[in-house]
Amino acid sequence: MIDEKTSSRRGSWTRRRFVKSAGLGALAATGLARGNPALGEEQGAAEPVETAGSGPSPDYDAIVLGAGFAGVTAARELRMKGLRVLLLEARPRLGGRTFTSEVGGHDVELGGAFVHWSQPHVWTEITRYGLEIEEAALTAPPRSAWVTSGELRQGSADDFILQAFRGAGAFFFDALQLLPRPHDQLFVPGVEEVDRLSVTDRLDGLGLPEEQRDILAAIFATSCHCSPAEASALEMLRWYTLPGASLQNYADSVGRYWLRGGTRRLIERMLADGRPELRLSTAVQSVRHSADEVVVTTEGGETVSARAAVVTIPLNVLGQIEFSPPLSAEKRAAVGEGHAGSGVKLHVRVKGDLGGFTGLAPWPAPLTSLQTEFSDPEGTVLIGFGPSGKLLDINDDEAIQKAVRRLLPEAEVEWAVGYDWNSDAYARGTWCVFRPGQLTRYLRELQRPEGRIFYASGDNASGWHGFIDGAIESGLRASREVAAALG
Amino acid sequence: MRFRIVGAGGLVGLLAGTVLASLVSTADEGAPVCDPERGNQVFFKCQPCHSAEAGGPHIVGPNLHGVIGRKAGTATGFNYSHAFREADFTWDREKLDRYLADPAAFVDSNWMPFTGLKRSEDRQAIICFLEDQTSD
Repeated sequence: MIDEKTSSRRGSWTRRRFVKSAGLGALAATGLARGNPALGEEQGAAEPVETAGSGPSPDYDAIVLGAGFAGVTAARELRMKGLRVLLLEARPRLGGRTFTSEVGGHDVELGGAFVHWSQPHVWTEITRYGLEIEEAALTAPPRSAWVTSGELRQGSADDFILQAFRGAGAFFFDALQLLPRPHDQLFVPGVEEVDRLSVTDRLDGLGLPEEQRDILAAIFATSCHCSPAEASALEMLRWYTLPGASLQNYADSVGRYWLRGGTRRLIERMLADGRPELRLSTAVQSVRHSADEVVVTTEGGETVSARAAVVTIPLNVLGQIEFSPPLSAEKRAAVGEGHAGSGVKLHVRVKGDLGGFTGLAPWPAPLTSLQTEFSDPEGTVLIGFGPSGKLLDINDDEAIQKAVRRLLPEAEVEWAVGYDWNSDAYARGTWCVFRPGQLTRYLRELQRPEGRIFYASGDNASGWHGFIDGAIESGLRASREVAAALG
Repeated sequence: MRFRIVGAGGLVGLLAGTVLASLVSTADEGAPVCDPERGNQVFFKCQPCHSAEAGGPHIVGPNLHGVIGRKAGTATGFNYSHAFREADFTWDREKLDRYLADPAAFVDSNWMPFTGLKRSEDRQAIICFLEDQTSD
């Protein structure tokens, strides 16, 4: 499907020329990135660029679009199989929807952060690279607060945990029957019926006492990162069954443990292992593919060819890249709808040592959860999640103080930091949570290769989609498919 | 219902903020109270992506040391978006104020993922902080 114009244009761009034109900016941005000295070295240590092969053979075996966990995994695996791999990334950094940076001298994870041993793919990487985890100051929190019937209740954690467990018993009563194999969510026929319901639909159908309902609604609004009316009920059943059908494991898997040194440390190790050729600050405009090859054109107008491409672009921005031939009608439909994850994550420092604290408030609270990350004698850093950027402006400290005070009435906010993933042109959303009907309708299709194009993303993992684990899983799958296809 | 009210308030607030900003910038040239301490605190929001220290790195965005008086899109060694490579202006207080209020509206298609500081006093505090950094 490569037309003449494209072919001749490609012919004018050998691999060497592409590398020369794109290399300088990427090197500058990489080497200077804060806290990324290793990255600079790796860039320098990468093997010298080979001359383009004579004749029509493509420049690379595989081009991977996107250097988040899905892309870096795929690139590493393909390099381990001895293939020539070019990794293209639009942003001037690795990580995609994970981003470790520093604020006030502390590491902060502005995006995806949480890991757990129930997540098999990321846990394997933790073992492989000998990384360590740290945990939120949650163990036996002396203070909890939750909003029910519009009023703030305060007490010990046991008070609200008991309510949460009672509500969860009802919400998840048939979870294991519906998802006996949680990494194969379409295994049980008829699961579509549950997928058609929103989280709110299912909650409303249970007739729970108001306090139990409000506590669950707060947990779900935080998990869905959107209004629970916009997310599929099946998504919450998935989060519950994946770590072993236990509410405690659910909570621990999705909000308790993170990597010492940040997600940055893991992804840098993975990149260093694979040593693909990396180009940062190189956004892709179009992907054309035929029976013979794939041609990728960058926004800068350079073209580069390969025998296969792995596309790891998030669902909510996949429509910005022009595919020829176009994506399948089903993929386009999924892209048009987008996933629902679109909330906010904040790191908030308040005055005074609060110790461990957990707060919960149901939709439409601007912050549906708030918990201690760490504290010192002068102050406490809390991690807050809100279900919508429209309910809380993460750049407005007064609005944030008001939102925090709904759960901690005496709080005095010193600073607050978040990253606006919803306005990031390369994310347009946060973690993937499917809307009602999407999982059963689109998940398999979103994974399905088309011609020489293979799809990986935390958004389309079979198990933990929306998590670092899912991104790694999808990268492993796509690299296996590419290797099989290339023979 | 609540959703709509908040949304509408945001829009009105944004418009009011823009009007107010233009009034402030024309009414009192160089007169606003400058509190670099407060500016430093507001600048925490920028810190994950920007350093303002002399000789500090470019992170995801360019180093902002000395940005006032600098031609837009010219920090040495930073790989700018197309929008900023094409920009033809020099940063001053007034332009920074407009940019910080609504980055996407001021420099079309720039990809800084930041929706803006709606409060004039927050923007003034950051501008004052950046000026203070520059004078070090």
